[in-house]
Amino acid sequence: MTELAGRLERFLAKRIPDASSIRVGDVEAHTEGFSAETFSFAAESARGGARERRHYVLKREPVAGLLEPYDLEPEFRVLHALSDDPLPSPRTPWFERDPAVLERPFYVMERLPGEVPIPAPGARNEGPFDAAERAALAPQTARALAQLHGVDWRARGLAFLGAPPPGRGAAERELRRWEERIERSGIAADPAVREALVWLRAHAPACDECVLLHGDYRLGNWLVERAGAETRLSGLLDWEMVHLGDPLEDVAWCISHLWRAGTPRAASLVAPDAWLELYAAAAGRRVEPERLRFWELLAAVKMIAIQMTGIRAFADGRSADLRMAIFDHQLAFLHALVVGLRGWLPLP
Amino acid sequence: MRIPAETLLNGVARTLLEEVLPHVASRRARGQLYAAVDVLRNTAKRLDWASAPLESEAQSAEGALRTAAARLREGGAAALADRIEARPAAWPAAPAAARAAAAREALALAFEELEGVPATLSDAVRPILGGHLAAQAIRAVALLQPSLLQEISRG
Repeated sequence: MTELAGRLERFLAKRIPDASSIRVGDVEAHTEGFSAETFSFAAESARGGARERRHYVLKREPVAGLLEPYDLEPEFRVLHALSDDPLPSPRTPWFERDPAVLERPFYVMERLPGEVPIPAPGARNEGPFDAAERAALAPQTARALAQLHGVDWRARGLAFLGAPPPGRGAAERELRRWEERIERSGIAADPAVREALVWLRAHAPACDECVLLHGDYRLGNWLVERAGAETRLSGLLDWEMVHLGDPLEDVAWCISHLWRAGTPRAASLVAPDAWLELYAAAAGRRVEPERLRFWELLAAVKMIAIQMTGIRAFADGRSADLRMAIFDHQLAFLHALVVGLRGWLPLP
Repeated sequence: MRIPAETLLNGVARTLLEEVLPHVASRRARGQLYAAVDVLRNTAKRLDWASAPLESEAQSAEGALRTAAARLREGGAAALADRIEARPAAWPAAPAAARAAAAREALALAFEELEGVPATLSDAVRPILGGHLAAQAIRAVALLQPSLLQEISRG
């Protein structure tokens, strides 16, 4: 970590020219994420006779991982463009592609307060929040997503993300994206997945609006400041899958069984229908059940595609991260979810 | 399980050496870790996945395919019924992993081929195959141990 601190000091000295004697400390590697490498650090510098201390988070492209091939630049450009937006996304000032700096491309964002609740069931299947925290967070998470979907992406210069063709274009593009990832993994997809793909191809819904999508909006990518009824959603993290498309894609991902942490509640917060009502009210948008059904099934297939990518990276020896190896047995849960979503198995 | 047992165990051994060992200070713990790697490396070549669950999977798939074929034949789709029914005979008898893989492929093909028959017939046949998928999902999940995801995330 000392070497990393030294490299960061040299990097920051170039990026903050009016600061002097920059010292980087408290460098820590984080294990929560499954994808890009994440480090937090503090930078102390002198500015106009006073010393100031700021906290940052650095995200660096991994050698291999769940979302390979990697390109952090689109994510950086979105976060940078949203830096002054009231959305709780972190201010993100710097991106660096030069391998001489930290070997692989990375960006730096300001560290937001709060903690990342772990989306696991907990000892009593109660999820990570108590009742007061859930009541406070449910409307905030729905409002924040509605707010994100309301961002004028053209005005913010985000058209480079590529709008899908109108009509069924968004659904077909996402389906193709995840189908290709499954194929690229070189691992034979389970018949439950192959059947789901057949259904999805036949039921890609049309959508007449195109919004900015987080792509991974869920419990586990939220920063939360716990304070009972005053609990606050303080940050939205992990924008690696940001793109343009149908708003119900984010909605379905957020309420998916994948992120219920062993509870019957969307994101472990409130009943899925209640969360959908909160979102619909905040966004002024109807949540069409048939469209949502497509995106809910695709959410499960997407997770399978991500895990199959990780399994391939581990099996090929390109990643030594054992968390990718556990996906090989975890796939059984996802196959059961797909079968359930297709109506052949009762879902909790 | 989609990764061969040998690949998985060798991968675990590699991770222990590259990611864990450099952070272990105690000499006794380092010795134990090297021993674990030695065990994994020498076990990897001698192991394969248990055959009983794979054989159950193939047997269940074969039953579902035969029932589906019979229903297709009743519905007038004899050519497709013949194709679906003939496939299990071509599955390898062993190893169990290859037989189960062939069964999965036959099921997937059957689902894809159902798109070519009238909806009234395919809607009647699909749940027969779906019933196998449900039973198989239950069998596969029943083999899993309680998840350590929380501990893995927290470290």
